[in-house]
Amino acid sequence: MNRADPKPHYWREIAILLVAKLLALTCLYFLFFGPSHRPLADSAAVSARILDSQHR
Amino acid sequence: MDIVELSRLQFAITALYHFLFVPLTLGLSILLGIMETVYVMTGRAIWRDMTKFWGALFGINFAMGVATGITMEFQFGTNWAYYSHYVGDVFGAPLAIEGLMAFFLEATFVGLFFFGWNKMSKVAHLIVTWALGIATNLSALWILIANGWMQFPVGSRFNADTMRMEVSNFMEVLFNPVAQAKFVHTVSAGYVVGSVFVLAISAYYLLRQRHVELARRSMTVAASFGLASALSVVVLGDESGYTAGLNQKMKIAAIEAMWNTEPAPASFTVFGIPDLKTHTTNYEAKVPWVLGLIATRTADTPVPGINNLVDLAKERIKNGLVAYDALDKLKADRGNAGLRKTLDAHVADLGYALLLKRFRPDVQNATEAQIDAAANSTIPNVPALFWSFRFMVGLGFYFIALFALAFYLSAKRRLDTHRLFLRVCLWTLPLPWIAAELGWVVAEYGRQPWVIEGVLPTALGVSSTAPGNVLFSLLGFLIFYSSLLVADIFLMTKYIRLGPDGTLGHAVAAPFARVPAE
Repeated sequence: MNRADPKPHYWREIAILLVAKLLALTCLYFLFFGPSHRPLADSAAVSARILDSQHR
Repeated sequence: MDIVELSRLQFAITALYHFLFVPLTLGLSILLGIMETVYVMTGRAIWRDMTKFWGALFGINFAMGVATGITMEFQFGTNWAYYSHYVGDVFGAPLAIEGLMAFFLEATFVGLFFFGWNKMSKVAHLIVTWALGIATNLSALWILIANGWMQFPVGSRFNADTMRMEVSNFMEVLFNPVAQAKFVHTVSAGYVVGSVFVLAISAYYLLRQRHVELARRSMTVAASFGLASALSVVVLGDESGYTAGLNQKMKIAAIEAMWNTEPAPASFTVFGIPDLKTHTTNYEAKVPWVLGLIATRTADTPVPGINNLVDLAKERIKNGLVAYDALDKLKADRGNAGLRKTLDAHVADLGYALLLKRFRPDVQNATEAQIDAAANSTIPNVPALFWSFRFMVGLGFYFIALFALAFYLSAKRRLDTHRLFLRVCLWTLPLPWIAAELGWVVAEYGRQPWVIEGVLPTALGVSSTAPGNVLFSLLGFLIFYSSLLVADIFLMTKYIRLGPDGTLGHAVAAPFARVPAE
């Protein structure tokens, strides 16, 4: 058995998996974590939610 | 459903799903340590094969547990941004340490456990296995310190300038009695899950006369460890109930469906049908004294009933409105010492005033009827708590009986001669998970309407995001988690059916075969 055989095989699989993972993470980022999905919650926002007489 | 209901549903589904895997990881990690210790002490190869076989099943479960746990931590940011700001200074530290424990300590030892068998000495590998068990349990400790603080928020104070809770005494957060009681109760429940798992799968092999030597030994370990754990769950659950009584009297009253304060010592309701409309419990069967002794550890301290606690909540809402008014005025007059003094005097009830936000935005103008409604909203779902608790406790006592019988049969070397008992063991397999999930329902559903008991109502913690976003991710979780569940069940059944020989790739060692000394 040629000892060098398994190496390229693993490299290909690892590369495919890494690319797939990168694509999945990119999709997740834009779907759920991108700037447009980030709710602002700082002291002012909390103050407005709790103390603002218009806010439930 | 609105954003609050959707966010709660999403967290409940992901938490309940994650909690299918956590207890088995907790239990199996310790059982692996016990099995490998016997291997190292006796040198008998069958115990090494047992550790490897149950370790393979542990590995499948561990992977699923990690995958399902990550999403919950993200939800604090995506769905609970206001909660994260309001309590992040306190809640964030134990949560971050838990993440470090899970992803660095646990994951490192998992890797060493699986890939270190032929690369380390027997003793070194044993140390790794125990370190894996300890890391798994430490991970649970930190998440329960975070959760314990949600139930009993000690060691912290409200800062009016930053509009959030901040740590005032980290040692109080760390040694919170609720967190410590919850930790030992939860890990003991995990040990019961692990023990029933090993007991049931071993019974399956014995019923089919497969892998008899391995199954018999596995059952012996599970019976003794499971008996000790099942007894601990009940004793430590009692401690957990007592600590809940320190700060969550409404939860205790709801679990008991006790509408009015009884003269001390209160009786325990074994059975009853709670009626939400009339605030009564029909067909009650009571055992005198028991609740008083469990909840207060005294014979002369009354346990307050739901209606009495609602009256108390009304007072706290009115008191909280004084704090709310001072806080509101401080917004325009930061340096006013008088307002700060007023706020400090009434800040313990500020959270109660926030309950009114659900009923009107300008809470300072709340009517008596709205204060009544807010006070009534402190009552959790009584029938759900009443029945969840009773099924959980009933199952707890059943496990004690099952493990005691298994222990007796094991001591008499008659484990594989009682087929009915083996069948009972096999069919018990799903029950510890049901008990664990019911325990989660009692602890977390019973905390409602609070996300932080007495401090922050759940409705005020959610993000100001669109409900569609939460609905979309909720559907995504349902699809993804269902796929994971199918994969988990497929892999588990595949390797259980394959058995130790097929999983290990070689025949399990003979009972008295020894591994040559290193």
